[in-house]
Amino acid sequence: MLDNLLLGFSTIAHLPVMAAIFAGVLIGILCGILPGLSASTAVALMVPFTFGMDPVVAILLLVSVYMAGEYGGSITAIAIGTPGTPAAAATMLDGYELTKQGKPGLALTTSVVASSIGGMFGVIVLFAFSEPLARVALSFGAPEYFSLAVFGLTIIASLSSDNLLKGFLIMFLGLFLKTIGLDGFTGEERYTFGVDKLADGLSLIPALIGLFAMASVFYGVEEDLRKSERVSLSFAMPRLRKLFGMWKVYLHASVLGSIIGVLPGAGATITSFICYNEVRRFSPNKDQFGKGCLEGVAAPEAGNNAVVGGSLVPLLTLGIPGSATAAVLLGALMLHNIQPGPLLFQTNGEIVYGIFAGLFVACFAQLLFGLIGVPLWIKVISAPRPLLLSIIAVISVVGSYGYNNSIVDVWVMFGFGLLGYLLRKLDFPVTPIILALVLGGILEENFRRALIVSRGDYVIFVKQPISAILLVMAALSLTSPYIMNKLSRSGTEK
Amino acid sequence: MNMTGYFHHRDRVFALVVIVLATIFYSMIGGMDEPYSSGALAASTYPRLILACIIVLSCLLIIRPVSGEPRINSISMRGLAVILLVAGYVFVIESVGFFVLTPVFLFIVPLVVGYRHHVANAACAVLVTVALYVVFILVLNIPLPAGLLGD
Repeated sequence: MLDNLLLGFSTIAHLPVMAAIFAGVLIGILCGILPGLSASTAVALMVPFTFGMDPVVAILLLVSVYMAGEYGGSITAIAIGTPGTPAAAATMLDGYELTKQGKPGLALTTSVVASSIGGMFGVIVLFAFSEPLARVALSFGAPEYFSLAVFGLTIIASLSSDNLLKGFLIMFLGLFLKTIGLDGFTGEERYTFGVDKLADGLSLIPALIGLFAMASVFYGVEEDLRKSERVSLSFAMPRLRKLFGMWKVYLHASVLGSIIGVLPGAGATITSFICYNEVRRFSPNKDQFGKGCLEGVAAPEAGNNAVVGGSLVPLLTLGIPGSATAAVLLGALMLHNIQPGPLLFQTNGEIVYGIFAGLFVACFAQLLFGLIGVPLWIKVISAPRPLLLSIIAVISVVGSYGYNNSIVDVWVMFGFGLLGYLLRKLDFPVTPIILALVLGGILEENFRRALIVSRGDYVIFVKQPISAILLVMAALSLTSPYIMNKLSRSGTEK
Repeated sequence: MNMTGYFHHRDRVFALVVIVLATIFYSMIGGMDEPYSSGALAASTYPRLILACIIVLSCLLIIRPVSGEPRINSISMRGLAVILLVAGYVFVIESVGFFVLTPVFLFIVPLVVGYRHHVANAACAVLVTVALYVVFILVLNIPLPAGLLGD
């Protein structure tokens, strides 16, 4: 274990890698602060910038953006009462209250300390659980992988929407879109309509850039963009004793956050609310929550950063992303010819352990930038949104073009941008389609591989014990929206 | 059907469109069936399974009773204008080229959205184009469409 840790730190102990981590944290914080740019959008937008990079540098840049993006959203939530990322909405409840009381410095400091502690806890969980899990996963065959993908998709489709039917319909649409291209088993063309460039299927990275970034431009321009926020804040810091007196809150939220992160489907947003409510439930200052309570800032922030490490556990060990952002990371890993899964720990140990060590450093960088930079970051909030949206549009187009020097990929990006926009208009969730695009390949490949082994007998999926358990869990996960809703709402409504 | 009626039934309209498309795709894939394999192992089995699920779920969405107040998310002219602008940008970028087209696009989009600080807008358009040139061409060696300026 110690060897691996050393391997990780020696991987990142190079100037380009460290520069990538610090740059990633800066970009992540900035993107997190800007309303409308979530951590996942930020990661998707940054992928094109990694095209020519060394895989280790590229991946560490992206995971640092992910980590810091989850923190950055809280700055806006606290300063102006608009969450910079959806996950910061829970932070806003008490954070903005503190600002209104003239104590934004307290809330901002608490948020960066809690975020960094939560983030580190998530990395520890990642380090402790991923290797044992990878060892178990080494014995997985086609039926297990199929059932695992089914489980991942079911829980995502059922969690991401308040409407099961819509979640599942969207998931199947994603799975269908994934079948476009040459069939990997027989070489037959499926739905390519004679377009040669579609033979390899719809390119994943352009599709993700479309669903996240382009779509956010399309609906971003419809909002009222004239009002610009002018913020001036005082920066009184909380006393250290007060800050560290909340260790129980950090721990509680970090544990919850990293566990929820490991489970596929529940991203940072739902985690923030669950952490907020759970910490409040056990807090002696229960009635202070919602009235400007530091614990109410610490809990969701520790939680949503702990998700980062947690969501990388299934991603790295099984190749199954635990959140929408992890799905983008999966796309980026494959782009750089790194196939996540149990074998990754043996074939590319330096990358896996480099990610662990790099995330750790990213947490420190985030703490540093967060503590010294807040007065500067606040200025970013008043950046003119129309300019920002046009820049995102250009990066989306250029990034998709650069993926393969092909205009077809740009149209794929545009199509998915339009789709993401329309789905939002129709109140459909977008996450299931993202996960379906990512998991669709694994699903079909292992479905058919298992059927080849069993000579077309579907019983194989329930005959293998692990596969059967996973399928039962998938069926059970249909009830998870009720459980999660109860957890994230209990307490909010008295 | 008045507008409220449409918003009330837009899930059904969406489902209906999806059913029609899924049926077309379902029948299309029959033609390329089984030259290399057959039965459960054929290339068409899995997409057909998915399409069947899509059709069943869409039917459920249609027969499901509509409950609650319909939320109205209309598409605004600004949204539509920007979608068309991006489409136009993509359509001509290969022939006109990134470096000619991008500053123009970067200037027009904020204008359409209602941004009125023309100097800041123009400065941003030029600076971002130059920055993207430096990052993509000089640092990352990723070619961008040259268009009119190309060889």
